Amino acid sequence: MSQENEVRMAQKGSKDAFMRLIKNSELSMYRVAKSFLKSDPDCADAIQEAILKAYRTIASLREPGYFKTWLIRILINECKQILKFKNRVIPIEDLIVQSQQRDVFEQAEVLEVVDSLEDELRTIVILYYFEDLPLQEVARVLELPEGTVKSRLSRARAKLAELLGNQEERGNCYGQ
Amino acid sequence: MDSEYKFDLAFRELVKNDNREVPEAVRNRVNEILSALPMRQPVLKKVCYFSAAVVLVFCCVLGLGLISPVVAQALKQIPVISYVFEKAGDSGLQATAMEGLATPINQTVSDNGIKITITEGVFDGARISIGYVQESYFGPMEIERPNIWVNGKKVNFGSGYAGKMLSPTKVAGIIYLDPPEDLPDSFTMEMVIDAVGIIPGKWDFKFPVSLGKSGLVTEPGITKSYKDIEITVKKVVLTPSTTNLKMQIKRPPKYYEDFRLYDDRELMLQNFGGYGTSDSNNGFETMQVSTSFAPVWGKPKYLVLRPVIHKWGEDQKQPPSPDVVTELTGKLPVTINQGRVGSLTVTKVEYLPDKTLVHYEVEGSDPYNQSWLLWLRDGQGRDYNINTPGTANPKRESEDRYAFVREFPACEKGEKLKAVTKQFDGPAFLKELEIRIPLKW
Repeated sequence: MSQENEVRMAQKGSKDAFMRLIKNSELSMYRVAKSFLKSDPDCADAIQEAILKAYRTIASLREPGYFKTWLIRILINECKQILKFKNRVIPIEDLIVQSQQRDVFEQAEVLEVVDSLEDELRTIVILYYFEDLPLQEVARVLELPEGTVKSRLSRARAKLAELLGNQEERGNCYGQ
Repeated sequence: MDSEYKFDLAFRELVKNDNREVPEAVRNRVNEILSALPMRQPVLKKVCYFSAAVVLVFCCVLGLGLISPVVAQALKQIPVISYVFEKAGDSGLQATAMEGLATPINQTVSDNGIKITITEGVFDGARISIGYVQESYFGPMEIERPNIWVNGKKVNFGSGYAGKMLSPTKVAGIIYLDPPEDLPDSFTMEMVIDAVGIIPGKWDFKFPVSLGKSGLVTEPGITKSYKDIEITVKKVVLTPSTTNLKMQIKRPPKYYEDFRLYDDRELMLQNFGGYGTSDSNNGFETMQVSTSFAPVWGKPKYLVLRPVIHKWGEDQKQPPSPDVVTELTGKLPVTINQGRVGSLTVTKVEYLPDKTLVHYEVEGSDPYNQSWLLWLRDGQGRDYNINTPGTANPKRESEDRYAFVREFPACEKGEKLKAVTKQFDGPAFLKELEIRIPLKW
């Protein structure tokens, strides 16, 4: 059954359909939560709260085709709540540790490079490239003007190109 | 821009190779919350305005609040008291209301701008159904799962809900409670709701509950298993408003299931939903499940339970199915192919001043799901589906065939209406897990 039909079934009250929708979105939810929150327990907290809120309010979703965007928006709000509550700032030591680890690995995973981006760029990269949301949807999810999203995406591309370019150089050195 | 386009192409290739998985600890938390979600009855979002005369009587009743037993008995004679059961209840509760088996409660509590009135209730041994009306200028919102005390002691109940909009500020609904095994036949229930939507508050109701007319109870204790799945039907309770099955299911968490129940004429009883708890051990989940279906017709000699087993992720591999669109302006009946599951035949369309009624029959392996997948499209390409105000759930019209009528918003008689449906495969039953439940009346 298509996702839209699943959403309609869930809106009609089918718990099974809702569960299938969530399991299908599990990886996306984890990736997005991880872009905000560093620890897996915090990600799990945000995801659980988002699932509960989504279950309670799915009947209010007007366009079943926008389920993923809608769910991610709920999740991002939960992530922000957790950040607000914890008053979280990524300690500078963590960033230093990450760059040291990249020196050790022969080839950095893409996600490690993305993780090293500043917060506002990282989330946009996850939503645009990993979750494959169009620009308008990214803007809707983050409640930002489309122009702002476009300019942040440009900055993210430049930064990623620089970081991945550096990784390739280091990889070549190790290859010798 | 060209360099950005090239970067995008290259970066998306890298992203494709990202093989990150959800950590087991996070996946377990997701499964935990999904298992803990309460079962839900369908939520009906259509707008339905009832006639002025009925409004007058209903409002007078609501205004009375707590009423004397004499008045309660008199009010029981007024059909409108069962209005919530008739309009918002499933077919089992509708039958209960018609037979006058519901007991008026009529208690009203207001808090934080939201007024809730408990209108009527019925306890048939398998479930407790409580009708309510919610009024609020915030618009209709979902009632949080209530806390329940039985004779002063807190008790856990499984719960589900159904609702129907009466106006932009008023909704009628049913709270379904799945009682624990050791509930007495008569007791005082206190029900406290502590939030409606995002609005916290306290809506506290106390009323007597008595076991009404019940039916047959049997404990078949039949187990069927196939590979690593085992299903046991522990208890079956047949009442005028429901057929309730209590089951135990043991299987690995990579599966989930739903059920179809048939009588001895191979007619399917509609699934009203259910409630379950689960326990994990050694890679298996053991679930205790209570599922309610429509009441049986007559006295069947047996029922047949057919579980449908799904594997997480498999359904998502199927491509989306396109709309199947059929003109309704020509000669009726017209039969529409719904794919491997079966077909739908539109037999009559009634153009009434305030609504359009479409009468149809389905044939196939999943008749209730088939019946839901019918909506209308007008000449301008506008769809009238479950999200459209004025569109109702299908209502079954016949006991011995799957004939339904569905209400849609009013249309002009000359309107070029089309029926829209989808094609799908229908349930894949595992014969090895089929359970025949004999009934001794």
